[in-house]
Amino acid sequence: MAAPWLLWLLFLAVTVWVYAPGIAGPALLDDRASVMVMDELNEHPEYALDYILGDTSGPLGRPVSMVSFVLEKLYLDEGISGGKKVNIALHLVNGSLVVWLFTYLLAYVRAPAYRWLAVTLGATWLLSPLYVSTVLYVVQRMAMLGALFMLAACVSYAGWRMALVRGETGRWQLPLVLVFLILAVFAKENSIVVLPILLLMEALWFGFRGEGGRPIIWLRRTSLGMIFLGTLFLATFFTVNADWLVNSYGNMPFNLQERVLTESNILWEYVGQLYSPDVTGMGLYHDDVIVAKSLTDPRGTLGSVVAWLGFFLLCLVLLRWQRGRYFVFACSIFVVGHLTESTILPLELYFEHRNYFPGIGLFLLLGLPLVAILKKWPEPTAPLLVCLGLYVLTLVLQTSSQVQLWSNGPLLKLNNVNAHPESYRANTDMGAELAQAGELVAALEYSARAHRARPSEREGDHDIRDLALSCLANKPLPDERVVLIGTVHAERPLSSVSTLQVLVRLLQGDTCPEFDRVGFANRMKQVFLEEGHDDKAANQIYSRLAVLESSLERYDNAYVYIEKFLNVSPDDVTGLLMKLHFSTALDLATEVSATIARLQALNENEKLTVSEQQTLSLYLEN
Amino acid sequence: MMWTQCSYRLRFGIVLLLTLVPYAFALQAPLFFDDLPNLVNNPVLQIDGRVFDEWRTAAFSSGSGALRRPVSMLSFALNHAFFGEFTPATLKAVNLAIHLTIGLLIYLLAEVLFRAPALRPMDSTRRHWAALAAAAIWLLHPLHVSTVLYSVQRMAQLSALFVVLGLWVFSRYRLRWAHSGATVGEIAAAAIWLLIITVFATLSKENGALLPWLLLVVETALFRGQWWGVRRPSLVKLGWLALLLPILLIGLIFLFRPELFTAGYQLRDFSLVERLMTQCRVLWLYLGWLVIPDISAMGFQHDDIALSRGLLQPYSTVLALAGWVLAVIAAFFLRYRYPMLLFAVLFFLVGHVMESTVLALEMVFEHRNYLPGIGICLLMASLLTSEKLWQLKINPVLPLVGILCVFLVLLAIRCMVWSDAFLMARTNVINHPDSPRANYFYAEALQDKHKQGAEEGLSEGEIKALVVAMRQQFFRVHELAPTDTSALVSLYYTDAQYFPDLGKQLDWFSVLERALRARVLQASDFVSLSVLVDCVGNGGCQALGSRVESLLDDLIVKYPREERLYLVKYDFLVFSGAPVQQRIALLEKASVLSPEHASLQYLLVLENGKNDDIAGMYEVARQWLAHDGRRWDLPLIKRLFVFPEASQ
Repeated sequence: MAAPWLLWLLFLAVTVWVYAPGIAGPALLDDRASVMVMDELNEHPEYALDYILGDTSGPLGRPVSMVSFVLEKLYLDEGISGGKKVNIALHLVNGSLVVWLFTYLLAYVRAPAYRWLAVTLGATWLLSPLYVSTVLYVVQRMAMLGALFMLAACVSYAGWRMALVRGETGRWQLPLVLVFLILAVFAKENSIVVLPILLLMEALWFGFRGEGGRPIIWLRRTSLGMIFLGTLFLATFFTVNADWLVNSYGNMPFNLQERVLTESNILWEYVGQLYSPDVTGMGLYHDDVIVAKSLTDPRGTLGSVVAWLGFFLLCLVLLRWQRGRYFVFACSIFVVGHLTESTILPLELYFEHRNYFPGIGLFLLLGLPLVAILKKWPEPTAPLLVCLGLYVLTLVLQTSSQVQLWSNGPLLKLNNVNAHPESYRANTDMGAELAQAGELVAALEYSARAHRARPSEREGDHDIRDLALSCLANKPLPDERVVLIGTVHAERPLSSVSTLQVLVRLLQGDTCPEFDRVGFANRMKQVFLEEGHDDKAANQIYSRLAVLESSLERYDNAYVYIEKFLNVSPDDVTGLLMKLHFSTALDLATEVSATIARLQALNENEKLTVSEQQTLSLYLEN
Repeated sequence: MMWTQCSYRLRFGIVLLLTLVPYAFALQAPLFFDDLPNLVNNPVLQIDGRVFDEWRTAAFSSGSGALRRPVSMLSFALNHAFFGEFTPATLKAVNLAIHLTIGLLIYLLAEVLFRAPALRPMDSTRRHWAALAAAAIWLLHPLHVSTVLYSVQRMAQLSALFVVLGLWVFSRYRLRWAHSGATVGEIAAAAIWLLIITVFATLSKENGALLPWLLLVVETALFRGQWWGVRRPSLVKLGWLALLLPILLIGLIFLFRPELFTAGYQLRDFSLVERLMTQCRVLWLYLGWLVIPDISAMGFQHDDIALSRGLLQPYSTVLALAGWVLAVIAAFFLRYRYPMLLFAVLFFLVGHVMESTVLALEMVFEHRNYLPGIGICLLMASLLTSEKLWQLKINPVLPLVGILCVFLVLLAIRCMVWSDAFLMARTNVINHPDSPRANYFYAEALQDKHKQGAEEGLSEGEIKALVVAMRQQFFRVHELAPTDTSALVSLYYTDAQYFPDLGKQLDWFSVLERALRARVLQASDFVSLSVLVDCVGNGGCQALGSRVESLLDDLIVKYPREERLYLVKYDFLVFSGAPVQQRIALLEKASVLSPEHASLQYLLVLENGKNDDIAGMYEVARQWLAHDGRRWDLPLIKRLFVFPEASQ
């Protein structure tokens, strides 16, 4: 009885051992924007609520995830390595929940040695190499916490159902489902998919049956009713809002049809990566994925779409048999789990972390043929479990090598650029790495490769990146490179806020004393304040240029930039505070009073965070 | 019953103890030959085990075999992690433990096989003695000393261990099925277990893949289609068909893809046909050693075996071939009367299929009998405990004990020889006076003794005598193998150092040049060239500097795709103080040929570092990572990016 759980403890220990080197890994991309900005939290714990409610990653602000980051900062405070430790711990918890869920599900179908099977199948999920990029990427805690509460909801529901089957009420478990559902959604919005998954679990796995196999009529009516209403709601919503959906692709390099076609290819690739991982193709960046323009471009798209249609048809046929319904349910965890991020919404095309919860379905599916075989011939239970264990071993070996790459910044960047040579992000990252090592020429070569990989990139953004690289390497580029900015696409020369922000931060931090900051600021002024019309850039570009001018103490220019910014976003608190700062520096008393009044009005409407209130109060004291 | 069991265990324990004692005295024998590249000079293997991935890379760090033998390498890694270093004693102690475990498995296997339907029923006492005899003969056999005390041969040992385990599992199942049949589930369970064991055996050493074939030998020779108490002719036919099927498959592969077998012969001084003919004789030689362990014929090197150039050249070839044909025919036709004979012959031949037939491997190695010899040991055990012998008035165990005593003495002598490197080298030469390798090893042993001479307090006269003996041995190697480059390099070096007058008369370097230019380069030639370059580097062969460079350049022109030559040339450039750019250019050429070559890439990164070309270092590392698809060199590549500051 205890032996399977001892085996599970062993798997957990191996997971810790395998992932441990990853703790030394670098901070990545969104870690810097979402997690590493909490540096002042220890000095000002009163800002905690600002951070918890201030995240803009999703429509609901993901406060549950932000709570975890805040608590980590307050009580652990080990920087990025602490974040990775917490993620690893969460992964272990999630793995245990997967095993718990599998135990309920397999016990219900009376699978022989169901505990052993649940533990071994759980280990396939726990040690899959595809999840390295989720576990060791701190900001993906949002996905992990979402999955944790989704799993908790599933376990609570399955526990309640098993209680009903045993003839007990299990009343305390049902409210927990709701609690976990809410926590899941506020950890990450796409966790809402757990609701249809729970309904499908009831319809396909438990079959509305209670004690002694008797049907539970009210449960059948409620579940089927909710499935029907949910489907109807979604169909209506997207039909009514079809235009909104199509238009929301305005900023994407692909349209709705192209996304759906491309995702049909990508979903099959996810399946392959989960069952038969090819770690050489895995990585942080997949922005080189080929966008499917039509069913025949690229050629495999038609095959993918037909395969999905065939799969759905097969599912419809299989619904006739009980075992078929188990198969359909396992598949539905994968398919429904991907509904929000891998179908019609205008998100980026490919991310490995999107499989964190959906992958559970595929590993459950792996166990179903075994259950069928063992129910008929129980003798090979032990050797088949050993075979499954060996499969886990092959996964562990790949996960381990992947963790090694993720444990070292330069190695990870080299691997990314090898795995995805056409990836814009992989090449820019490599350029930054080389620039930091002082190798500007090689860095610029990678920057040029990135530019070639993304033909839509503006020349100006390329120029700004090259300047940032030269700053990192502390080797100034010739003045001609600065003069070139704004000569191509003069009507809107820059589009990448983040690239400009990086350069401005580097200049603010005095990373490159040799860099001609004034010359650069003058050229920006020429381009954005003197030449041509007002609408030359996104307003965020103006705010970054205001920061640049502020760092040079040229408040008049900074003031003009922030005015341009506020023309578009008049109630932006940060912008208003910057305006207040610049007006004060320029002794513009009227502007100061007006801005303070505006900020106070916003504060009365609770639009200011604690730190913003404190900043405002400094001006009020004076 | 319990007392009987205890006495069985006690007897077996005595056999284990008797095996352990002579081996235990030889555990300090030094590591040598293939131990060095596989273990001692393999940095990826020498782990402390704290990082999980180190185990993965260590497991795949062997260049041997198509599958890299991860199970065996893992056991070596465990050795290192547990003891903190590779010492002869710890490595060989584990080998000895594996040897004893296989002995136990052979006992268990024999205990089951002697109950097989094809054999006459034995009472439990006789069966116990028969099983004990089989295990004891195998355990105490002096032929296995060169496997157990040669650390790297753990690969052969582990493979044998899993094969014997598989045979035991199969035999247990099969015995039950012979009496009471089996369910589909039971057959499936057995098949899956055997598949798993075969995988482990094969991943220890490739000849573990012979397990399924050996199972068929057990089936056809000893179980003979017996199922549920009845002999099933269809099962018998199926068994024979399956037994012969692999031969058919090998034939088909040879017909359609002959290059798979013949490609390796380009680097050998014998052809496929010559190897097959020679192996006919070698197999009889092995059989002789197994039945009558003549330790004076045994040794580490057997390169003095005469090659069979034709059926009558030497005459023994045709006799050996005819002998095997007759042996198989006789075993087949006598299968009902002497089933154990058929089993032993088939087991021996199938066990040798991988290493003693078509593959272009060296001709003779004693360790190749480690597994196939089990069949012969079982046959010998069955003869020593035969019914007739058992019915004699004398104690039936006496002949067995007598034979085991002889084996034990021979084992002890051989272990003693193997306990000392010098003694082993000397004994090898005595046993194989015409073996170039044995003579060369002895010459090297003399060289080592000469180096340690002063420390060991030898007189000047004794030291001089050692030098003379050493030169004599190197010259003997040259006489036996005139184109052997290692002997020529050593002769040049010895004459230059100790016999300058002789050196003026004998231009060994010219002989070496002619040898290298006249024939296809062999693996040992690269070692010789490295020694030569080292000799130039340490000043011993300084006069040769330009001639060595010119020789290396000529060889690179002749073998432009041989990256090992570039590495030798690189060493030469380092010793001769060539500019870093020249060294990088050479390494880059080699890198194009062999982008996955770890030490080459490592050198290239280091040289770029010396050249202050950080971008170049990154680029080499990137390419190395790109070509290392299975990430076997990951610890080495990662080491490039772990800076002391970062780890603090």
